[in-house]
Amino acid sequence: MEHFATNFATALGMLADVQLLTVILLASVFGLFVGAIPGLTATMATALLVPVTFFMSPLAAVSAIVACTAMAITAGDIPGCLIRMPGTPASAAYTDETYAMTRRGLAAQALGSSLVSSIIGGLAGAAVLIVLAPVLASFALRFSSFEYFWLALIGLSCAALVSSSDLLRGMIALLLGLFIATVGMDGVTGTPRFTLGFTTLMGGLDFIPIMIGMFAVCEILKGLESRSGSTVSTVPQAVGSIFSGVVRLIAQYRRSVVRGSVLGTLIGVLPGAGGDLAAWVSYAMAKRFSATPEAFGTGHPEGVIEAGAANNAALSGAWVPALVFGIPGDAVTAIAVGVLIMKGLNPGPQLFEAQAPTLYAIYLVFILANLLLLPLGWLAIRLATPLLRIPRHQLSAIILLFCILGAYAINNSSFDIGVMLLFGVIAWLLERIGIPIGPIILGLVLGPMVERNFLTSMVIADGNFLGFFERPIAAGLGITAVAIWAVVLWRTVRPRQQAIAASVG
Amino acid sequence: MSSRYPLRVDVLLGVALAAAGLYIAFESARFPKIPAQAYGPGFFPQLVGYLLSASGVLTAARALARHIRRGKADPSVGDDRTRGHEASAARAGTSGRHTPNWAAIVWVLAGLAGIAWAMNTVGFLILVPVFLLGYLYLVGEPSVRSLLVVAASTTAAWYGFAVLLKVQIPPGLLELLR
Repeated sequence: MEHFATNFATALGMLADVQLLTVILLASVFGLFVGAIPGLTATMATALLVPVTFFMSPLAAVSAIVACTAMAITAGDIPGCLIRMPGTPASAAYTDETYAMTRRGLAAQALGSSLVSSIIGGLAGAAVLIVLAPVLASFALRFSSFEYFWLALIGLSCAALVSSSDLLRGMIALLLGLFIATVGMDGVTGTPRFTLGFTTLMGGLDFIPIMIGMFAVCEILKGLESRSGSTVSTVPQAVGSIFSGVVRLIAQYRRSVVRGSVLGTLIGVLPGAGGDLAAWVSYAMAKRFSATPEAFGTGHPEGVIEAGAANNAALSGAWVPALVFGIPGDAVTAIAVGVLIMKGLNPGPQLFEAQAPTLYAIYLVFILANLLLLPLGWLAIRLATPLLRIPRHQLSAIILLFCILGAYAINNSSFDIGVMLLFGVIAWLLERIGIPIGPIILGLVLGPMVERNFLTSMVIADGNFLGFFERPIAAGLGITAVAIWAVVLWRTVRPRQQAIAASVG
Repeated sequence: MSSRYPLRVDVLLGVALAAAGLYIAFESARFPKIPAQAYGPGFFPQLVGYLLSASGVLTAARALARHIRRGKADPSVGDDRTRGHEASAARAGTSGRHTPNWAAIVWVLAGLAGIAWAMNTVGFLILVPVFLLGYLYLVGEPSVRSLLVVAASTTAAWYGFAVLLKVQIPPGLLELLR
């Protein structure tokens, strides 16, 4: 307890830094801005933020990412509600509902209830992170390379399973990510792999230009492909007082808030899932358990409140496996894990011993970011009408500018602009044929971890694969991994067999 | 869990992945092993290569099987290309009403490649504004406001990165003015 008090006091001291608070505030404003622009995702906001975090302290870098994503996800509700164009994919789950509320003259209620439920969900997710992460970390101290190998494999499997409706395409994306991770000198023997004679590739492909390319450049190319309006055609209506009657509404749907927060956190913890999936599942769950399911789709706040709580709760939940095991919960935490490694804070249970005050400060940032949502979210909603009138293409020109500078600034190398372009084109082409981008990023981040732990384990087990099942926790995790794939294969093969049987019969 | 993309797309994807996977696997087999071990730096990429190759074969085989099944069920259903195109267009958010702005797409691709190639020689403050103005012209924003947006954002970004963050942004030809 004394240990906790000391760490907590140190963390508070770390947080009471004007520079850090300014970073949090600026990242929040940036997140709100990007989130409120239709089509620009929270992941893209994070990817664009990363080059700037390169110049920050580890705590400031992580704080900026936490604040930016929380704000972006919440701000995504604003254009969805006002002009039926979701700002982020997480908001798309209930865009029709909030827009229906707007058409009924309830825009303020829709935005207010969504904002407050997001704050509650975010705080609930942060509470779970604070309680669960240290417990898991003390347990994970007993892990060896065998357990880490299986954990990373489970993480990769989940990422492939939930990222796309087509398992095969999810797998292909994952394998592409794992391959990209092998480019450069091998960590064990120093053998150069797939460097194509470029000395700049000896150190491997830098993940930041890849990230900027895959999320930002790809998004711009997609926008040009669909000629998504140079200006927003629908003029949003003005919004009244957003907090009027919201407390009563939240109290009325308190079960939805709790369910959304719990479900969102659980989905967030699952590798590869993230806030987008949490919002969709929670909205469906709200309708399933509602006393008035027929009201859904007509401008009913219940689903908005539950899904709004879920997507922010998932953001915090995704940090549990990221901090404890170094296994990202979604694309945003995959970027964050990369930033942590870049800053010398290798995620894992040791981090909880060696950098406890920094971790406590990160927890406090989660709380602070969610509390900041109240005034900043309110401000963003007030400023939404002029913001949504800014021509889209002028914004995308500014984004292109930051893509170029962001990719260049990492190594002061224009080679990285080429890498960004290459991966932007690859992501654009892959998305056109239905291959999701999320698993590529997770494969890229988890690839070295899987390979390192696999090779170490094989050396320890003297090449005997049964050695992977000899330790009790490793055996449990190994059986879980095998079971996941067995269930998937069974569910894939079974309908086909039934169809064949039906056609024969 | 089956693909709804056209036969042509899935078969081409499958063949490309199978070939790429085999190349990765064979290339990886040439990496040296860890002394006294059966494994080395080639093992993991080799495994990835084989799995990628298998995924490619499965993708193509699944598409062909689906095509044959559909053909048997209804011989008139020969052309799933149109449906597949519609499905992919719907998924990509590009309905038939939109025509891609190819000029702008080519400009972005060529412009970024040009910046990567020539930024050190020509300089950031020359190349990037030209690129952005060309982009805004091609997307239909050739206004004075666009000019101001480009001038202000480029200057602000340069100041932020070069002055505040101390990133060495290449001055290029502007160096000659000193």
